[in-house]
Amino acid sequence: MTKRKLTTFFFILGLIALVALLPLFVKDVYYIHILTNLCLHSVFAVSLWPILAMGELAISHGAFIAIGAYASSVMVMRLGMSSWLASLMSAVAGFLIALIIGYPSLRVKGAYFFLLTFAFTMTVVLSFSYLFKPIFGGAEGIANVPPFSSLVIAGRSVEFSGKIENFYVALLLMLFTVGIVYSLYHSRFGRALAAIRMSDLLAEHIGVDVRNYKVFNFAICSALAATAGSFFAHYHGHVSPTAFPPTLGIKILFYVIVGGGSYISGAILGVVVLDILEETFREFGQYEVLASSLFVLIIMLFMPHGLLGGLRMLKSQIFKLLRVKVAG
Amino acid sequence: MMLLKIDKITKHFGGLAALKGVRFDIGEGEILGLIGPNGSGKTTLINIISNALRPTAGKILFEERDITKLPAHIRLRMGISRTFQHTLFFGSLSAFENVAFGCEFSLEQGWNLFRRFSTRKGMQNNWSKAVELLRFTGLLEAKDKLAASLSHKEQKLLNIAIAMSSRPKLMLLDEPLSGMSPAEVQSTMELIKKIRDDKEVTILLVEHNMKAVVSNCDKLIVLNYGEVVAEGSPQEVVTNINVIEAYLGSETELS
Amino acid sequence: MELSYFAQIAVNSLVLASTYALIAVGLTLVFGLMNVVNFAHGEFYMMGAFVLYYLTTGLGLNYLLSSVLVIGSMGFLGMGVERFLFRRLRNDPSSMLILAIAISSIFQHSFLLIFGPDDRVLNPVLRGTIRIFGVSLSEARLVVIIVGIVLISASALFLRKSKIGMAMRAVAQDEEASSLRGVNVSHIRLMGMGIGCSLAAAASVAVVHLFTINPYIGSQYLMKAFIIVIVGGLGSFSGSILGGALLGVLDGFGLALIGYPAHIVGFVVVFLLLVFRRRGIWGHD
Repeated sequence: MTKRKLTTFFFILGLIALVALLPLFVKDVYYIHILTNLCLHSVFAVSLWPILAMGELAISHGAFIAIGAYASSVMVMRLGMSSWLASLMSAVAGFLIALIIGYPSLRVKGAYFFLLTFAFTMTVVLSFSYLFKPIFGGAEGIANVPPFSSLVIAGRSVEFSGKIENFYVALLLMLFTVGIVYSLYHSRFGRALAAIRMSDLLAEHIGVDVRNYKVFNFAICSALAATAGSFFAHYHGHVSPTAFPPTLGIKILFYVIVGGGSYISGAILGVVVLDILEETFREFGQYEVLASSLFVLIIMLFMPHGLLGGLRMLKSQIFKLLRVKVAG
Repeated sequence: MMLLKIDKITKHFGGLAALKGVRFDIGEGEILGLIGPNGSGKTTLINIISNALRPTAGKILFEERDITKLPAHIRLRMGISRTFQHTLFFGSLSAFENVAFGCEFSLEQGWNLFRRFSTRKGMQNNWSKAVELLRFTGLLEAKDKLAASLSHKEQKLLNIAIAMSSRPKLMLLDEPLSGMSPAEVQSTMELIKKIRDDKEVTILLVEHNMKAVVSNCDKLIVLNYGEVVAEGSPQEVVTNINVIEAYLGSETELS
Repeated sequence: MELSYFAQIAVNSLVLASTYALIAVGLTLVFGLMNVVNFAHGEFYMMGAFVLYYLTTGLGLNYLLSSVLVIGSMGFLGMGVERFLFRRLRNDPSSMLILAIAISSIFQHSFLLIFGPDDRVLNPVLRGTIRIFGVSLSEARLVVIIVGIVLISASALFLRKSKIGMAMRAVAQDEEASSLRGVNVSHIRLMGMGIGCSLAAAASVAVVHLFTINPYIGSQYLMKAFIIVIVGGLGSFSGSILGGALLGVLDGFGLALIGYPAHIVGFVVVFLLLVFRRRGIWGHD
C-alpha cells in the first residue's frame, strides 16, 4: 500500500474509533439518538449510491426500507422469530422482491426506470396502508415492535432497549454497509457498473452482461435498504405508512447527490450536511424541509456534482496503484 | 467453413423496410466488404449481426449456430466484435483504460460476483494485453491520453483496438475509414489486413471509400434499399450494371 | 346497477379522465421538449387552486376573471422556472430531474407553511344540475369535462396546425435538426413550459370547486400523471390523452366499487404494462 493509502486508512480508523467512543463522553441521550440516525441515514444513502453509480436514479429505496421494517416486525411479532434472524430475513426478502421488480423494470432506463421505481414505491406504500389490515395495521401501522433481543457478548448479557446499545448496532450496520459497497465497487463488478454508467451500449459490446449486472446491483442495494428498514423498526418500536412516505426515497436521493455522487464518502457527507441542516431549522419551526430543498436547489444550480464534486467519476478509483511499465 | 451465414434477414422500422431478405455468407479468413449508398441498410445490418437490433425475420448463423436471439455480450464471447460508426468509447477514460476494459470484460466470467476480487496477476495480464493491442494498432504513444481528446484517426484506431481486445473471430467494422486522409486510409487498411493475417480474424467491412474497398476486399456485397443487388469479387461487382445504377445518385466514385 | 348510479360513476370517471388528461398532457409537453420529467408539474396545479381560492374567497373577485389570472400567472411562473432554473442545467437531465424534485418540494412546503395543511373548499359557483336521459348530473362536473375536451382539442390543434406548435413538435423530435432549421429552441422551450403549466392550472381551475384544496393535491395528481405518461408513452401527446382517459375510467369505477385501494390497481397496471409492452401504448423509445 502506498503511504497515502495507509494514512487515509488510519485516518478513517481513527474517525471510527472516535465516533465509537463518543457515548462515553456524551451523556445526553438525545445526541446519541442523533448519531444513531446519522448512521442509519448513512446506510440509506450508501446503499443507494451504487444505483446512481450505474447511471440510474431510483426512488424505490424508501419502499424497500418500508418492506424491511414491516417484514421484520411481522416476523418477530407474528412468527415469533428472533429479531436478529428477522433482520436477516428482511434483507433476503428485499433482495428477492428487488429481483422480481428489477428484472422487468431494468429493461428500460433513465426517466422511464425512475418513474417505474416511483410507481413501485407508491404501490408499496398504498399496500401497507390499505391491504391486509389485520397484519399490517392499516394507517396505524404496527405498534410495540420489540427491540432487538438480548445477546450474550463476551460473557455478559446485553439488552437492546437503550439508546446506546442501538447506536452501536447502527454504527456496525453502517460500517458493514460501507464495507460491502466499497469492496463491491472496487472490483470487476464495480468496473462493470462504471462502464455501464458511461455507456451501456459499449459495455454490452465489450462483454458486460448489462441487464443482469444492473438487476443484481439493484437487488443488493435494495437488500441493504431493507436491512436498514428492519433496524428502524426495532429501534423506533413502531412502523406505519407515515414513516415511509414517498418523500423518503427523495430525501435519500438528495443525500447522495448533495454529497457528491462520485464517491461513497460523498453519500455520508450528504447525510451529515442535510441532517444537520434539518436539525438546525427544526428549531425554528417547521422549516426544515423547505431549508433542505432550497439547499438542494442551490447545489444543483451551482455545484451539480455535489459538494465533493468536480472530480471525475472513478477515474482514479478504477485502476489500482501500479503504473504499467512498457518495455521497448 | 462459412463462419457467418446471414439467412433472409428482414428488418422493419414501423412501416419502413430497412432490410428485405438479405442473404449472404462470410468465409473464414475473408475480408468482406459491404457497400451501398447511404440508407441502404448497411449499418442496420451490422446492428443486427451484433445485436444492437433484433431482426423482424430471418436468422443469423455463426459457426453453424443460430445466434439470432442471443444478446450482444454473448455474441462477443462467441467471437463477434464490432466498431461503431459514430465512434464509441469511454470518453473520460484514457486510451489504455478503454482497451483494458475491453480485455477485462471479454474474459469468460460466468457469474462475475464470485470473482469480485481480481488478482493482481490477473490485472497485470490484462494490462499487458492492452498495451500489446495499443502497440499493434499504433496507439502506444497516445495510450495515456484521454480518449475524447484523441485525434480523429486515433479515435478510429482506438475503436479497432477495443474491438480486438476480445480476440474475436469475426470483426465488424462500421466505416472505419470515414474522415481519414488518403494516407491514413492506406495505413488503416494495412492494419486491417494485418489483423486478418496475424490475428486470424475474419473481417466484415462496411465502407463508403470505394477505392479502399475494391483493392483490399476478397469479396464484396452491395446493398441497395435493403436488398442485396450484387455479390462477388471486387472486379465482378464493379462492372455489374446494377451496382453502377445504384450509385448513380451518390457521390462516390467507382474507379 | 341502477342507471343513475352508473351514470354518476361514468360522469365521475370522465371528470377524472378530463383532469388527468389535462395534467398529463402538460407533463408530456414539457417532457417532449425538455427531456425532463417535471416533478414540479403537479405543484402548478396545487398553486393554481390556492391562488384561485384566495382570489375568489379572499378578495371576492369574479370566478371567471380569477380563473384567467390563475392560468396566466401559473403559465408565467412556469416560464420563469424554465428560464432561470431548468435552463441552467440543460445538458444534464438527471440533475434537472433532481432540480425539479427540489422545486416541487419547495413549492409544496412553502404553501404548507403559508396556508397550513387543512382542507379548504371553494364557494361553489355552479350549483345546478342538468337532467340528461332522465339522470341528473351536476353542472360543475359537466363543466370540467367540457373544459377538458375543449382545452385538449385546442392544444392538439395548436400542435398540429400552428407554426409554433409545429416547431414544438420538431424540437421534441430532433432538437439539433430543428435549431439548424432556424427554430429558436430556447423560446420554444419557454413557451412549452408556459403552456404545460397553464394546462395544469386550467385543470385545477375547472376541478377545484368539486374537491377540497390542500397543499398535497399537487403530488396526488402528479402521481397519476406519471402513470399516464408511462402507459401512454413518454413524449406521446395522444398517448397521454388516451392514458388519462383510461386511468380516469379505471379510477372512477375502482373508487366507486372498492374505494381507496383502487389507487393501487393503477400502479400495478403500469407495472405489468411495462413488463409486457416496453414502450407503453403508443410511445416512442
